[in-house]
Amino acid sequence: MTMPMSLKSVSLLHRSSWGYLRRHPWQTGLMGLGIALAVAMVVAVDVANASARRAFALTLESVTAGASHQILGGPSGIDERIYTSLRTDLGFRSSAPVIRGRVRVQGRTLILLGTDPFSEVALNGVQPDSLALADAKVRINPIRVLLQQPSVVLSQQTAQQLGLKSSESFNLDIDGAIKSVVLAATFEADNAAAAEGLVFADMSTAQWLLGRFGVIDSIDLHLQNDEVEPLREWLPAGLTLIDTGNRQQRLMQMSAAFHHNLTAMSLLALLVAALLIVNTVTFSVLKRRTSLGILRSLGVTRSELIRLICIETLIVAVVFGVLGCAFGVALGQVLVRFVSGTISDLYFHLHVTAFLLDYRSIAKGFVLGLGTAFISSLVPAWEAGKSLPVQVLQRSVVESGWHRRLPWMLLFGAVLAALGSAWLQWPSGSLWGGFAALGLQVVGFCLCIPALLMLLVKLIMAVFGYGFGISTRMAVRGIARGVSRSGLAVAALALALSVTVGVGVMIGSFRQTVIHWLEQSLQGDMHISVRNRNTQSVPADLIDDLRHSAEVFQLRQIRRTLVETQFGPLRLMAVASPTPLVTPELIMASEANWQTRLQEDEGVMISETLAYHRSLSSGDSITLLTDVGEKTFSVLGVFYDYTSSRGLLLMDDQVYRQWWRDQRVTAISLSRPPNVSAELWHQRVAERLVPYSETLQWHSSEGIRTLSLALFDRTFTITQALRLLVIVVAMVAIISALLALQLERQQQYALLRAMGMKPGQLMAMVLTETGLMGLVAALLAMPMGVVMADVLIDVINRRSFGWSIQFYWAWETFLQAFALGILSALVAGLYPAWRAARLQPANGLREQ
Amino acid sequence: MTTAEDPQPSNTEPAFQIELRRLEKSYGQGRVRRSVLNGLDFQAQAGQTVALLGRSGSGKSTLLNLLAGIDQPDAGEVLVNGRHQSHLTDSERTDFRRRQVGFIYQSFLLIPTLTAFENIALVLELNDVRGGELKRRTATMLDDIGLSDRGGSYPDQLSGGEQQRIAIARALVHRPKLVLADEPTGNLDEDSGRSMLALMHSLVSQQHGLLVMVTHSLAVARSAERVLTLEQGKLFEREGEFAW
Repeated sequence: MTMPMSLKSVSLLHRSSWGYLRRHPWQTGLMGLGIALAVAMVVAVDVANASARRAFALTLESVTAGASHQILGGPSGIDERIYTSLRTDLGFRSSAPVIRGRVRVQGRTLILLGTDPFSEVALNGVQPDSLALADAKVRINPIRVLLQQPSVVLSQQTAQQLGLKSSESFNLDIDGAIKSVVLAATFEADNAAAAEGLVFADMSTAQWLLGRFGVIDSIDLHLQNDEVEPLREWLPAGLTLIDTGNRQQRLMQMSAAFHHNLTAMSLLALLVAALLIVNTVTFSVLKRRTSLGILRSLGVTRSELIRLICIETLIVAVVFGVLGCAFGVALGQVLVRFVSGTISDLYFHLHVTAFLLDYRSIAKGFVLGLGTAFISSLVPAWEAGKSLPVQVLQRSVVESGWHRRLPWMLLFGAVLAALGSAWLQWPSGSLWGGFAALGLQVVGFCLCIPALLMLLVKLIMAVFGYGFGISTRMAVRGIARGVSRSGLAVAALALALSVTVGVGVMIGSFRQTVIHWLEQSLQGDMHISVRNRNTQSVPADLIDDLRHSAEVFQLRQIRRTLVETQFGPLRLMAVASPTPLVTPELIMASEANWQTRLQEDEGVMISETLAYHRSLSSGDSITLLTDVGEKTFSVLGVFYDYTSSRGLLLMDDQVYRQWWRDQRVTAISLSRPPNVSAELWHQRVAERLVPYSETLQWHSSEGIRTLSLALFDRTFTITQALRLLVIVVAMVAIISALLALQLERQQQYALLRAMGMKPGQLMAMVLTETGLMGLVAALLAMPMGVVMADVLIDVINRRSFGWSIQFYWAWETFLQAFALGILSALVAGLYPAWRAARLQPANGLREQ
Repeated sequence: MTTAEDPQPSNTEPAFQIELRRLEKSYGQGRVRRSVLNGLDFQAQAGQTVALLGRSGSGKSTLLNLLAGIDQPDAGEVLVNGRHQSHLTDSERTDFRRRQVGFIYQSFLLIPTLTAFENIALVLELNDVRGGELKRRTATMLDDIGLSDRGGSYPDQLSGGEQQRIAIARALVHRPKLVLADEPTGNLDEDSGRSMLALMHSLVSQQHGLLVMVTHSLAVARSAERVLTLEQGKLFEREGEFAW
């Protein structure tokens, strides 16, 4: 009958559907849990990303005070007299000097921002009693601040966090030096986050606190378009005028790849959840095959049946999607700390730690969850709709349909994986292209799993079958027979395990590469550095003393600083060393005689990340802002470096001193003479350094290695957390699939109990089946994990950060994943096994 | 207690007997509770064949479940060889089913993931029969039911009649003292049903067991030595009416 159903009967159809959901809370709950977890993962990562990005933007805005342009100096800063001439000689009244530095209060790192309150008023055009800084309206009297030196101002929120009240004295730890200040006032910020973590002081107080008298870091300006060029021409050599908007955008882009990587991880969780949803909806269709068959026999059309199932899934998705959003926001508040921590470690110190909720992230996660649920429900819905009424009534039709399609799924999966591999070979691919190609491989892999599961089960039976007891054979064959569910469960678990292997091997390989690099790059046995690179220097008398001491075999002198380039600010390291600046093992590519040409030709070496991101190679050139104006340096080689993804320049110390009026030395490294006991030597050198402990800190090579690896591990905390969350989603998927299988076999279990099988034997049988599924998932996850690790190392990492990572077979990761697979499946099987064991045979058989 | 390893009953062993005393069983909750067995008494012993007749929903299958120890009465006693079943733990009741009971279901209930051979052998394996002994006894049973060439087939590759033969073989392979059959020929045509009944009687009598069959079929009832009807929760013996 093809006549359309009447409105009344359609509403009854939906009532029957609602009745099913209500009467099967377990299935409904499991499907909902999968959706909720997936939505939560996406929302949490997106909310954390958005919050950290907003914090990044606010931090940048608050340190540029909303200016349109900034004048920046070199490593030595800007002479404050230039600011005076700018205002008095040139008449740029909309300008304000800024000095900034890091301070620690009660163990928390804050940014000290020194400004001229009167200039800020002029710059931002506000009344003297209401000073605007970024989004924060500061209501203080500038005169009062000036009179109460040394005094600082905090936002009410920051003051509350630190437990400070107005007029109260407190200590600032500035690179080890403790200085006492008075909290002159607190202010209420319009946007609390913008002012969070900032300590405001007037210029002279800040200069005194930071020990940088007569020097400022930058000058903030509000310029009209026609004022830019004349000012640029006026600027003395060594200073540059930049557009703050462009600069902020460039800085924001630095961390974009990191955010993309986190988003990709959350999308993997969504894919695992999609398998869970397909599985639950398939089960709900199978469970209702009788009623669906009756509906078809009564004249319900295919499209009505498909619509019924899809709407039903969407209703569950909406309800649980909302719960997922709420959970995601809560989880995001935890994740944002890790994300901000990693950004601070890798890119830029974030002083804003507040959780800034972006409602678009919630909407995105909700819509993605709903879309995934809808698409996932289409397959089983279409399956139910396309079957003849008589076929819907038969359970075996569904399974035989799956068995028939397995070779095609295998073929299609293999084609998708091959397409993904081909795409990855594309030389000029983008980061998102890399993710899409990896996505194709992952989806292809998932499609292959049911067929591979069948093959493996057959292989196990062929090899070990005769040694198995009948109940074990029953368990093994049960997997193959219910491949429509077991295949999906194994696919979900295998995917999660392959993520564990892939990410684990990538992190392990990266860690090993960094360890190897540290061994190669840490020249010397003791490393001494200043506590503040901007203000302090290793005393010249100490350097002389050590250089001529019999206790020191070799001394390497280093100046680390930040220089402006055509690509924005970059880190520069100027080295004076009796040995080559870079060991041969760390050279990727170089010009001939690069070592001598570093000095003779005034060239630089650049790090691999800089070369990758800016498409630079040996023979190219790079323009740096020196103290005597812009100067182009030739690139003599590229070296491996893992200190920052932003890039690093290496220069000979003499060349640096020639172009920059900067005599500071920020670090030295010492080598001990041969045949001297390391422990004694360290002790003796440390004794000589004790008088300088206020400005200097020192570590052995081993200490640097430990600190570096601790920082490395902290950077990957967020990745490890997401990896665990993917496993949790997979656990829910496999529990759901197993529960579905076990619920379906209730009659069979009742029969076995009636025949005399004991609860323990039944439990053992169920756990054998689930354990075997875990084993197969773990086996299949290994090759996929290796492929994923390879793509993450060679494509995603490369395109995101530009680092070369040596593939390292982290066997412990494989073993962990293997154990995790079997353990997860066994844990997931516990409840179904317990349920099967508690089954009353009479109840189970009553269906008969 | 005998085990599956015992090939034949010992002459010194007392004959297997089962007794139901004032048995009560009801279903549902609160006011909508429906009593199906209402003070039922019954006694039978090895060597007998008993047919149970009754309307649908009269409690016949419930009675079989209580005899097999897979369900518990609300009141009254089930005694096997004079021993109260209610005093047994779940594990002891499972042991009782495993060793002394064979169950034949109307819809066969074979395990779909096991071959015909394995379906029969499973019961022996549960009774700790292993290796050559397991193979020999299963093969003999397959031979007895005339399906020695179908041992490797899965249930869905067998006809209804073949499946029921396998179900009978599975119920008898461990030589139980009590064989319970719930509509054993209900899903078979007349000819197949007749031959299945003959097979069942022959095997049970060889093993000197007690056979209790639930049926709607007069032909099946006529094949039994004793015929009982279950009405309003009580059993009534029909003597002469079904005798020939």
